[in-house]
Amino acid sequence: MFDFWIIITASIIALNSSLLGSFLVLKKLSLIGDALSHAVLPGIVVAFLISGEINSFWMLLGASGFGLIAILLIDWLNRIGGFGKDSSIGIIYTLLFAIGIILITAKAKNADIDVDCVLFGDINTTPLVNRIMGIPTPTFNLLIIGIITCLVVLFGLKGFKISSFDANYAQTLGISIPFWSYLLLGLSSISTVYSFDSVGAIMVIGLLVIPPSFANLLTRKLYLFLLISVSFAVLSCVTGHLIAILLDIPTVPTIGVLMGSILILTLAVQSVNKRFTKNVEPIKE
Amino acid sequence: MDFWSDLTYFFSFQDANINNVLIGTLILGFTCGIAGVLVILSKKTLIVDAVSHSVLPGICIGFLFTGVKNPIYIITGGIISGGVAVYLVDWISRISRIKKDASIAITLSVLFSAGVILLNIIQHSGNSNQSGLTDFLFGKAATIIESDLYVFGAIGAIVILIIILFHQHFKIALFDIGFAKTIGLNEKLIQSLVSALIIISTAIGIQTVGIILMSALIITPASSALFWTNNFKKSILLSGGFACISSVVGVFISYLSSDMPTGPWIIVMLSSIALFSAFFSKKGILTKKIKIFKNKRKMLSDNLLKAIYKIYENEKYTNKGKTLSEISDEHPISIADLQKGIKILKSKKQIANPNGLWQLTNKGIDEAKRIVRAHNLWELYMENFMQIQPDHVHDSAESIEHILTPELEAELLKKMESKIGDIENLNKPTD
Repeated sequence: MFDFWIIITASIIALNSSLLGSFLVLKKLSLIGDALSHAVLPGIVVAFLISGEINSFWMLLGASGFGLIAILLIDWLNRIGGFGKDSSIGIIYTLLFAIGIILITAKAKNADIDVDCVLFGDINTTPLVNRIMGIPTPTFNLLIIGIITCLVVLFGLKGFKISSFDANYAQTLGISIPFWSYLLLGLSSISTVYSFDSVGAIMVIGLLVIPPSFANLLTRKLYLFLLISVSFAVLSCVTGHLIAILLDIPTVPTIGVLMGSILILTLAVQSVNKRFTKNVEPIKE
Repeated sequence: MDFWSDLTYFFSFQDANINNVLIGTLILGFTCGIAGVLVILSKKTLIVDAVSHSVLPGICIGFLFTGVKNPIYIITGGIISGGVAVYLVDWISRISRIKKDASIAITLSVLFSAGVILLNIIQHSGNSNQSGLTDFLFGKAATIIESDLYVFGAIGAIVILIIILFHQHFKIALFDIGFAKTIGLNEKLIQSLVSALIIISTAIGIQTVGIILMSALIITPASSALFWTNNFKKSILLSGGFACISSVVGVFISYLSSDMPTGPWIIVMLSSIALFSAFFSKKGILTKKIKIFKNKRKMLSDNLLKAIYKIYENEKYTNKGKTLSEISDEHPISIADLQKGIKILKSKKQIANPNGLWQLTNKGIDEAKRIVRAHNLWELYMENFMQIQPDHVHDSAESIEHILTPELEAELLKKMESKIGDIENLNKPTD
């Protein structure tokens, strides 16, 4: 029962992140995901300071606003401020993260939000926290967010698809690019905030980017892409947790290393294959 | 202790511990700041993020091998894993269709995860020296001791030396890669040097601001510096200076209140400088807005003055007073603009209304002549030197007349001395 909730929580996070991450990667917004995962920290701390608990649903929803503020600031710095796109991402997320750290050390020192859990999360305590209808609070929250995400992606698939692949075509059809971009980024921001407490800032990026990149290596069809991405993420979470128990190491980074190793191995095999076929072909001729 | 006695004590440099921390952060800040300019100019901004997260496993391995927190081993480990990160980012995006930004995100999360696992193993190994390794995550400037300073100083010197030795190469390659290639500069060498600078400065910089905030110590001061100057040398020094100022502020704040972390405050200070630069520098938002506003005002008043001058000329230089409607017949613009323009001209004392009617002052006549002259001069120049048809030159002259400086005017005159005959009727207004 103990491990059950950890695996369920990790899987829901994996599902959310890999689904949204797929479109982020297709839209070449991977690094916005990176920025988001750091920039929501002050929002979470402020929500915590106001409500006094880390899992309050509405507070966290408010905290997602910080993600959108970060995105608007990045956009503003880039367009109006004259900073390069990459520099504006770098400046804004570090600033917001620094403010978050200062708030934690100054105000929330003795609380159960601490600097280490910001980076790694504490998924292992999931089964121990308060429950709603028998489900641990973070898992319950994530489940709601997961259902919303799945519904939005399901009903908005056409919009996401066309706006990711062919912006010009989307415009001629009257599909608003900013609308779908902000919907995607808003959902990512919400999902990031709720995942943050369990898996920490760095793994949120990993789960957003690695599964879609892996799928990208294997297929060019969108449905297959989404399917591979999501199942790769969920399977990695389950396997990663088992490996972590076996070796007595922390769960979250193990999932990251596992996903990364599989991705890099696949890449290596593909590149060897390519070289091999290249060498063979001239002989045939 | 109140704020002022704290301030005087801090800057009297009596306390050896404070001095160590201050000197350490200054060296690190300066090194990262100057390297940052090269990073931004070579568009490698995002690699910094990957490298800074990826030094963690190297640091842990450096510690695992030696069992002590010797800065040399730890920095060496960091440099090696930073190098691995740069290679991985490049390799992933080179051999597959994974984009560079995705490959950066992949590399940093995987290597950072590996680092966290190693950190966990070290923490459970029972080695009593391990406490403090987690400080690398958020930086702990307060733990800098004297022996660290020599290591930082030596590495900082290497970075500065590389920049000084290769500054000519960097300059050419970063600003004009095509030219650099034609004169036989090795592009790969320059790119690897920049990567090396990123890795080295990251490996030492994490001591002050920590892994997560590291990229800001490199990117932020440099992007602020580039707002103020286009000069390579000046921007490097300015960037280093910004990083130093922020370091002093960060150390001072954490000295004032022991709760306050140094690194995050350095970053907040750096970002404030960046935002200030974005608004108030030469290329800043506000400066641009003011310039546009001033230009608009000048064009409005110049055009109005020209219109009044034209009436004055049509009236055979008898400086009669004119009503607003007379002026607006000659130069049809909105009433609001007309009133605004009149107000500006009056404040410049170029027109006056002694008896309720507007007439030109002597100053106004001179200024109007100058504008008309500039207009005609430019038309003449376009016709005779640029071979543009006479009926195409008016619009260009209409806009150039507002910005033609006396120096430029003199130069144009000198060029056209041979056409002296035409120059004599330069003061005649055209439409």
